[in-house]
Amino acid sequence: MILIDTTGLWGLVFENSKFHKFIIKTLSNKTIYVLDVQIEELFRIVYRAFSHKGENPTQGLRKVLEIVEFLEMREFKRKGINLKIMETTIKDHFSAMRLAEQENIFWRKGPKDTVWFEYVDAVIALKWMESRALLYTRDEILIKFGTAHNLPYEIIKEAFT
Amino acid sequence: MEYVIKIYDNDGRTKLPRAALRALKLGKGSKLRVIIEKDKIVLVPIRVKWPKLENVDEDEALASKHLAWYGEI
Repeated sequence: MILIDTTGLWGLVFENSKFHKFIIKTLSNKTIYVLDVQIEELFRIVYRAFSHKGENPTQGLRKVLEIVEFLEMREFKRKGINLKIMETTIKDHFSAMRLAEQENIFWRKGPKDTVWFEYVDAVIALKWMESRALLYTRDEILIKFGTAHNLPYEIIKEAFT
Repeated sequence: MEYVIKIYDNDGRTKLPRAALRALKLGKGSKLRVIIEKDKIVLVPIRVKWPKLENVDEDEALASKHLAWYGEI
């Protein structure tokens, strides 16, 4: 079983992302899984970036809808990717919060000395630990978690070599 | 343009007129969205392209992915 983090999902979705070639060449003809919360996270990141932090909502929503259509029509199959979306349950979310409390690593710094909880990373970590799947990531928090729990991972590279 | 087509013709097919396919540049494998509007069926061609980043800085977008959940500061 193969999981990809949200950077991997981003690299799959955007054809001119610097991660795209690596994702396609490494994962074509394989079945890969993302969690439903990662799809939501992708939409949020895309909306934030393409709307220029909310200044141009029409542009942000247009791009999100373009991705909805792309995922719905399973266009990634043209490049041999078999993407499956794994549904999470409310129990998963409760367990992810408990895991986050135990581990105390799911934090990321924000502007003006603020610190933010990486909720999706905690859910990915939980499902990763349960499945012991191979995770493609370049997220330092997930790498730290995987190393501590001896979980298999591969770093997503910027270009396939 | 307006045409009459038969659902499940003698060969069991529902065919769209060739002129309509040509006008909308549709061919084998093209996909249509079927929308039911009261007493109408609307067929809309789906033209999906692989999304592009346009002028978005992906490093910045991904580095601040956690902030997308919490709003702007």
